[in-house]
Amino acid sequence: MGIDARLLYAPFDPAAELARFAAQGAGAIVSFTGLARDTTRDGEPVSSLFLDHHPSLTQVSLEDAASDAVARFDLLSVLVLHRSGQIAPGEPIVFVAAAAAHRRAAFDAVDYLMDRLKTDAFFWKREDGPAGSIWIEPTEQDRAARARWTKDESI
Amino acid sequence: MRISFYGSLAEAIGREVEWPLSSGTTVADVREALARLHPSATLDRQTVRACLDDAIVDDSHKVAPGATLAFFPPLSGG
Repeated sequence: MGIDARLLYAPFDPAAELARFAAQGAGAIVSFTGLARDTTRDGEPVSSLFLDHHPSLTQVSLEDAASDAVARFDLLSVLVLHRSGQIAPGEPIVFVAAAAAHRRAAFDAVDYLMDRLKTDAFFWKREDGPAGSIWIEPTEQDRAARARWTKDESI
Repeated sequence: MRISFYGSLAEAIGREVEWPLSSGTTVADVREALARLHPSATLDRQTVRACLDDAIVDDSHKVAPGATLAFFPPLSGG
């Protein structure tokens, strides 16, 4: 059972990570890539993203999310990669992949992992632009998405 | 005792401050004192969590010398 959860301090290549992950030969591979946007939610330009992290709890939060996904879904392996530090628009911030014998578990695991990371991963995100910097907070949408995994334990 | 801050709090107060500790001090005491010293920083219990020796704790927790205390604004990863 492969659980690989890593905090990264430099740019990474999601395509290369996916190719490496898929080489394990599972029947179903699902992945998600989150990229830094070049505008804020209000349409203001973003020149850079900064992610603050905790020296130990951040890595633990990535590992916890990955372990919980494996405990909950019928998976062969899971990969969670998450950047910290300065990130340019268009650069990947997060990459999540799940391998399973069948597609339902892989789809659900990746969906679950992103909702977990959005609310439980120990990062603090700041959007920097010409108009200034804003520290981001989770949205009602993020909280609702996270809550559905608690309500419906049958998934 | 060392207190660490993250995210917007690190910007408002600094990454780390040295804190003189008196016996019986609780997390709530530290939080209140910090809020008085830094009136523009958001330190309320509803949104900012306290972390004592790498575990999220309730404000009633007493702080011992040598402990590491951190304050976390709302998370925004993913």
